[in-house]
Amino acid sequence: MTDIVAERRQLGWLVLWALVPMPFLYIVLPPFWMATGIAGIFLVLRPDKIPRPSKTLLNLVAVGIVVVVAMAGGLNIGPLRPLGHLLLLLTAVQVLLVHDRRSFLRSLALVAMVWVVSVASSTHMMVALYFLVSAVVGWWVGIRLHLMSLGIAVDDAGSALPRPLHVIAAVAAALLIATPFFLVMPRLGSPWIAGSSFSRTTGFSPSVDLGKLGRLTESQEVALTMRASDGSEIRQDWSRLRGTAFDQVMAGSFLPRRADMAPLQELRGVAWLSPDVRTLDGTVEIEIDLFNPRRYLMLPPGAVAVQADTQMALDVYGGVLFGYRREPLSYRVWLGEPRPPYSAEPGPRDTLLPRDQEAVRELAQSVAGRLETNEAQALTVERFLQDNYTYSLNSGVRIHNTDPVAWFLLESGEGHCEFFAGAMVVMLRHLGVPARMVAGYAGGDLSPDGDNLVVREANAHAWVEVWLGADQGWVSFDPTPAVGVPGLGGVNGLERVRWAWQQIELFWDRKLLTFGFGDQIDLIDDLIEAFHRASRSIDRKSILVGGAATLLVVILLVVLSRLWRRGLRPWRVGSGRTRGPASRAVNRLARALVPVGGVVPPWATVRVIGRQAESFWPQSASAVGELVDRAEDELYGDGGDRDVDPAEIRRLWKTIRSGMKHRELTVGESQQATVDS
Amino acid sequence: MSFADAFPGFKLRLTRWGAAYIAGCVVLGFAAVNTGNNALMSMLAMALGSYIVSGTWSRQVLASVEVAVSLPAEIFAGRSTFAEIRLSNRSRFFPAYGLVLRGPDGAVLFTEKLVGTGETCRRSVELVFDRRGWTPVGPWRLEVLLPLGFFLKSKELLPEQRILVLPRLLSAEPAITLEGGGGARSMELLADRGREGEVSQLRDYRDGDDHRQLHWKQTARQQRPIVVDRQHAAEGPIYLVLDPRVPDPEDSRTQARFEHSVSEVATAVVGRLGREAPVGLVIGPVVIPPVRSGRQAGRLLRPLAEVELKSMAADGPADLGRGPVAMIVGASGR
Repeated sequence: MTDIVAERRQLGWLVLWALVPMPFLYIVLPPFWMATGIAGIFLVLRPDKIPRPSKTLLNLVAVGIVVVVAMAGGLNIGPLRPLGHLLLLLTAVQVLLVHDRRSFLRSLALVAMVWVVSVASSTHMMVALYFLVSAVVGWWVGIRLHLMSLGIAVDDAGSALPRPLHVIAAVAAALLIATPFFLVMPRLGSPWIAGSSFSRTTGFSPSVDLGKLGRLTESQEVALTMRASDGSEIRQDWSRLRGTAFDQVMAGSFLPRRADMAPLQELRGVAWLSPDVRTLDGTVEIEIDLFNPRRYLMLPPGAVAVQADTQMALDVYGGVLFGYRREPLSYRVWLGEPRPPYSAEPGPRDTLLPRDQEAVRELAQSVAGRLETNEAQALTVERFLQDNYTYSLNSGVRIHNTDPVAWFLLESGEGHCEFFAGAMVVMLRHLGVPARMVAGYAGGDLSPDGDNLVVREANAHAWVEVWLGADQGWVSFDPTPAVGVPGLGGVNGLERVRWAWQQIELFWDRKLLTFGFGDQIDLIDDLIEAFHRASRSIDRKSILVGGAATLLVVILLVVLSRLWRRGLRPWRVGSGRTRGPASRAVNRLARALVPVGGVVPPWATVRVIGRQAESFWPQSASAVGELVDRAEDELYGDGGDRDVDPAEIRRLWKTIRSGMKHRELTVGESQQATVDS
Repeated sequence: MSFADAFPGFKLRLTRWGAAYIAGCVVLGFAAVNTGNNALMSMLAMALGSYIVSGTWSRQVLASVEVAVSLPAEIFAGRSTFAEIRLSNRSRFFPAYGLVLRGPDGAVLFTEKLVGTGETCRRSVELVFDRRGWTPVGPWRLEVLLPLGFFLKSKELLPEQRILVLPRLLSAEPAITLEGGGGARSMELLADRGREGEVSQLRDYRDGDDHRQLHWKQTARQQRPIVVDRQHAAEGPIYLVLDPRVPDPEDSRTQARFEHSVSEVATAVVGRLGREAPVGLVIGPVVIPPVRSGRQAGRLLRPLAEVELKSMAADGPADLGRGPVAMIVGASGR
């Protein structure tokens, strides 16, 4: 297989790998990534087929790409989607045309960009796994490509190069080094930041953010977590968290009033939400982390005081605004008995109505016009909406041409919580009952022990507060059918696994996906605090103990390091050389030479001893020579080249010994012959 | 160990791939900071982490790979010589991928795809030296491009190692040395037959002795193998005289002629010693007594490798009196 064919096949695999997240993304339409996928499959299956289209055809293809991208929406839906489409089609064409290393590298850059788009557009936790595997693949391919560029065959060694273990170790090291980089990278925002022109979608649209208080979508993104400071269980009624209420009806949207705000009165370090309550006796303290703070604190019913590290103000509807966004915003709330939020009595804005709603007014009159009390009318309208309308997140509203409330009540008959709440408010106002829409969160997931509540963006909810007179104040009603009201989920049995998985997702959301400037500040705060805590706890004794422990650890590390470096070879003694079996045998040889008249001076080298032994015992000359070679290897070799086999040395020594005996025999015979003569 | 000791002649060159990677990181960094997208931040962090790991890896490989070159004892100019090269990776953690060894002219001597931690690999490299005399072997360069090829790092090897290249040998020995000394042909025949010549001693059999040399009677008598050592008739020693004096040592034609003369003498020396015929050498005023064995050839060939042209004012060849001079050559020919 030629290099370019191998490279085309690798490129095909890389294209397919880069496209893995695409089916789960919404920014790229399926035909585009499928086209690139087909090109990748072609490269994998038929890398040897290199298309060579004419320039005219290529120009036509280029025009076709522009036309197709324009037909898929063009710039009307923002720049990212058409750029993504363009990138995918260009990649599909470019990878097919790869015919040499230069075009291969150009295509590799395009594939890398596709991969960047895939990863950067994903928010699911599994993208972390994909990212890590991608790092391994990237390293492996990178090393492989460079080996190939050196003309090195990467597949003929039995196993393909590079070795997977080496690659995984490198990626692990890179990940370790990357972590501090990730933590310290600037997250200050930028004047060119993408998404700054985020259009307001408050109001009756499929993508609802409830006045930017909660985002009513199917998002599993964590909005807030709640726990009792004393570790007690979360009560069910705490799970309805109120932001604030809207009163204006403008252009089909309910808007929060921006005026009439007052600073919260602070006393003893906490801000009091009601002017007539100044005690925390009998209250429960809870802690809330608001991960996506959007102007208002989320407060459970019965909140009497709040403490947060930010400036706060109270609006006329009992909503608490905070000064600046720091993610996550952590605050404490003290809860008493559930009671209506402190709020001013209804004013003219609580009865404002859209124009030209005669049909709606007639409907309201027909439903509850004959009832006398506000409470009865509210209950009736609530029941009417729950029973006769359908909950749906896909309302398909046409807000530019139609009054959304009228459209919901009279035409579609289906919608999400904001439609239900808006319809109830408008109907009650037609009946002369002051009412307003409230945005916040409802429900959530309880921990197995019931002491933690996780609330997600999908728990965003809208309901209604109705004025029931000075005695009862503003009372909550929820006209949304039960199916549309986010509930409070507990966990038991196998759901504990789900909870554990959710905790991992929470970590993913908080520590990676939404890690921001506030987290960086918190990290620095924690480090400074840890340093101060450590410095406060240091005294003379701890310095001595710590110093001694450090010294011991250093010594231990040095010893371990030396052990690691020298491996498991035996210790060197004497001159520093290893005295292995061969050199010990030569020593025995030297000792054996002395009785037969040999002279072994102290400086005698192995070879000198060997030469003498050969002259004394020529029958063993061959074995002596081999022994000398082994001993020299042992003493002067690099240690890793030839291992001396003790069994072989024993065999050689046996041969030498037999030669010695033969010599003794010969000498004895000659002496006997001399005596005889 | 200082940086210069660890990386003699260190060179660092940013590759095109490395430049593209850095540019990509800059773009990625701009996109990450601009959008605040943590996925892009992760990618950038991982890219920088990979950059550091790759740099550390290649640096450690360059520092821990050692190269040992073993050259033959005798290297003749113009003849192929095979040098054994041992690449040893002393690192305990970093395997060495894609090592490239380049010769002094920049040509690739060989590439090694992988030398694992603590491993050694051997390669043979064919070398040809054009000129006799002290010749630098290097500098060679060990290049490390991997793991990710951002930088090409290299260090010098054998920067100061020189070897003595012996004179170029001619294809045939000069006839005069074949004729001189007498008995060469007959001695060859004797050696081939191996059973003629005066008996010098009887001795015990050693491994490798020719079985035809066994003395059967003594072997039977002493009940152990006894062989006969015979003394061959020695060929008479001769002297080869090389006169390096010329009127114009800078003249290229004279130099070429002198080189040929040196080669002629060296060829004669090698030829005679191959027959174990004693030969001595006179180079200018220096007299090297005759040697017989090929193992002593260096005593004659090394001075021949080092000899240089001299002016006519230098001392002439030593007078050997009535010694057996077989050949006298100088820059102007025989």
